[in-house]
Amino acid sequence: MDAQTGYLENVDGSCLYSLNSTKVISAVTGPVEPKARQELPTQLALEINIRPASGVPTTREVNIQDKVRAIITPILASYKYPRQLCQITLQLLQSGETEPYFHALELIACVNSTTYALVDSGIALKGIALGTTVVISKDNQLITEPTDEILKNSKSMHVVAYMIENNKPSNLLLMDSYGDFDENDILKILEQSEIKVNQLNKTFREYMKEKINNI
Amino acid sequence: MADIKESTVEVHPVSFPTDILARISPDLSLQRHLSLGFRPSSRGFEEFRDVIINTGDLTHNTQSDDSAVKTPSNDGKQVLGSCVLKQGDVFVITQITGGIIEDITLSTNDMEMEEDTELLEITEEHSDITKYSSVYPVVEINRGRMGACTDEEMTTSQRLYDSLLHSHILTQNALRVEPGVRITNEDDSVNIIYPDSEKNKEITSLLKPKKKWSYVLYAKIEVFGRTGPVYDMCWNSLMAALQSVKLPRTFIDERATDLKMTVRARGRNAVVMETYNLLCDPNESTNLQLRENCISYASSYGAINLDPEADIANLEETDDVDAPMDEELETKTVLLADIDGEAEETCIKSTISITACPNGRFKQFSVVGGGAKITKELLMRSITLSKQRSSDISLKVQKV
Amino acid sequence: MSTLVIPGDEISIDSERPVVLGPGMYNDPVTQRIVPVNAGLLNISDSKKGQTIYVEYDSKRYSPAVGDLVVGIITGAFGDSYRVSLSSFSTPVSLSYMAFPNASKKNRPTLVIGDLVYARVCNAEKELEAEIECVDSTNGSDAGFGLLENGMVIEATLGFTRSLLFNNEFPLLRELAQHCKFEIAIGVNGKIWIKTDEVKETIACYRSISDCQGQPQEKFQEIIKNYFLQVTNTVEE
Repeated sequence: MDAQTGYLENVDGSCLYSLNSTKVISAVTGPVEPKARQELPTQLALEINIRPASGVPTTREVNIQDKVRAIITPILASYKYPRQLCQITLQLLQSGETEPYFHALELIACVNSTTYALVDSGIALKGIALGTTVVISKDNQLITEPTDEILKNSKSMHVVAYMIENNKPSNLLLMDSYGDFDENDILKILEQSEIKVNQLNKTFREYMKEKINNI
Repeated sequence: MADIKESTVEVHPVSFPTDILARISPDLSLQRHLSLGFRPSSRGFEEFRDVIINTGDLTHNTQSDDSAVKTPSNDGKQVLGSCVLKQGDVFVITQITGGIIEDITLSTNDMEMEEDTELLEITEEHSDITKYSSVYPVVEINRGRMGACTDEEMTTSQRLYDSLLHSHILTQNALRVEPGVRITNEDDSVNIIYPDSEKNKEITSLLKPKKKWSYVLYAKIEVFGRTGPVYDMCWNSLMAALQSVKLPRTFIDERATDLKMTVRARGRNAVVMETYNLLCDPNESTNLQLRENCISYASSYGAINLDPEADIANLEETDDVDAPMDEELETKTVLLADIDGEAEETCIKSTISITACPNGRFKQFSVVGGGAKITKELLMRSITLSKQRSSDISLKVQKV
Repeated sequence: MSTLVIPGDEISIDSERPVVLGPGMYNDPVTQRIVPVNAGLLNISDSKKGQTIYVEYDSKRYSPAVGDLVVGIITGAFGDSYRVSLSSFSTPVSLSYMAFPNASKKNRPTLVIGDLVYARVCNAEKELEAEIECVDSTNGSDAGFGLLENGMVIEATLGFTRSLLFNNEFPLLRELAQHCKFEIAIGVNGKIWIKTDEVKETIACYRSISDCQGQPQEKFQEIIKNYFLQVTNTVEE
């Protein structure tokens, strides 16, 4: 995993994020003046645009957008910015997965990248959101951060994102699972991903520490 | 600051009829209902809406006894399966249409699976995603106005596609076209031979081209009178409709197969394909082979924190000791099954959607936790409910 | 004392004493928890009145806060006020015609669209349009406020402009003053206006200030020297 904030000059917050062979640039602008139809009287409005690595956005990207929104909305201190807009644009550079079949890797790259970029932009956040992909392989092994090949041959795949408050995962923000699994699998997945998210949180803190010490 | 005069403002209590209050302040209205132990729709917390399912009503293939009535196929586009689902006040109408495409992805495993497909399918739960297929759903939520499709329609369609693909219910094999051959006999009578029996198989395999074709299925899902989230209804409707799908049999005219022989001499190229004229048989059809143990049904849940201040009964009791009240009242989280209605949809930020097989396996599971904290207990409770619901719906579909 | 905080971290606060929350701190209206909402260095200072808590962090977008000194661009003129942009795409703020020194109904200010002003934020409620003024309404002084003529504007991060404006130890301006004469107006909205006698000096100043951003202070001298050498050389050639 590799993240680099402040990658873009002309936006308020940005991050180049890569995990295995998935690569995405996120750009955050805000709080800015919204268009009239986006404006919410008491809260910060959120606009998310995802551009795929190749071609034009399709329903697949709309679906990812919807999930990123579900994860990001709860972490924003949205009542601090009434009638304002936060615009998040995500440009995939490399998909890292077979696009017609999957979206799990891209979704997680988008979420983690957005978190870095949001912190970089200075928009008020109630906590941070980090997530991971876990698959259950044919022989019932749990594999985190799978590659495309592992995804293709998995029994089930799961995207899990947690909200992190006070240095530990506090709230399950999203769990999105496809395939064939039972309730014990779900509990195992949640346990495993919580451990992974804790690690991601540690990496995140170290990155921020280094960045702030450099100023 | 000093010259602000003190003035008395009289506050008159304003009262609204229930339905107006529910629109002005959905949160308050919902909380008050919940504090009384039921929901705005007067359902219980874990009570589902009733479902009525009818499949096959709109299908073109309804077998008519009168053999004289032969509706011609219109270039492979016709309603192959359908379902009308009514849940509460919402109607979901699914029509499955299809087309035939040439299979250009002739992979090696197609070749080797040729003979023992069925054997393979029984012995092994193979997971390679490329062996499975999906249908192409288009969800349309009718609101009485025209315009570009909304984000909700797009995400619902995409989720249906993904879930169906990853539920492994449709194998690519099940969609393969096994064309028969139309033979003109010596006495000028025409009959079509399908590769059903061993003997026929021999004849057709002699005559049939090496090219392969597949059916593609499209699902048009229309929602009328939307009152809440629609994904689970669309899924259930699609599932029921798929089970009613009858694929038309197709054949190649003998003359076309003859033609093939001559053209083939020139070598295999794109021009060759166009000479095969694949025709749909108006009378014969086969059931779409679904993998039975993968049939699953969806249900949705919401979690909401009860606001202790909305609990009128309790408030009146504890009115005298109002000081330490805030500390003591614990926020309680309740699970509501089958989210419906404007108030529930807007106020409940934490939702769980489960697609479960009646046998207790899951095919799709999604949790969004933007509001109340989703605890393990809530998950387990919703899982139990989803299994019951899944069995219930599967009984209803079978009855049809 | 300063420690690193990440949004959502628990902060130990003496709940008995009054607390003043500065930038980067937030009191959640629903949960009533006091949490940092930005990643940066936490500063807690104790005084007799109570505790003051804020997070020092760097960012690019400016949100108005009362008392800030800002450089704005006039983007519109109405019957009784100007519309002023403090940062691109943000909600504009208003500058009343009466918020100028010696203003009266008859005596209207003569700013036009595109002009730069140096002003002070006098009203910044998040629900309302923020207001700025070209006279300090708390003490009546008007020194330095108003139209900024000629010169050039440098865009910088908010943290950098704060260092320039408030940190007397910050060596950049002192170093710059050894090379040329200049007028400067630093807005904490990330805009620095600078004016010198000659264009080449302006260019050198512009590049020096832009480049010193994010560099350690020891390097400032070298960077500045370099740019001034370049401009003098170009002219001589």
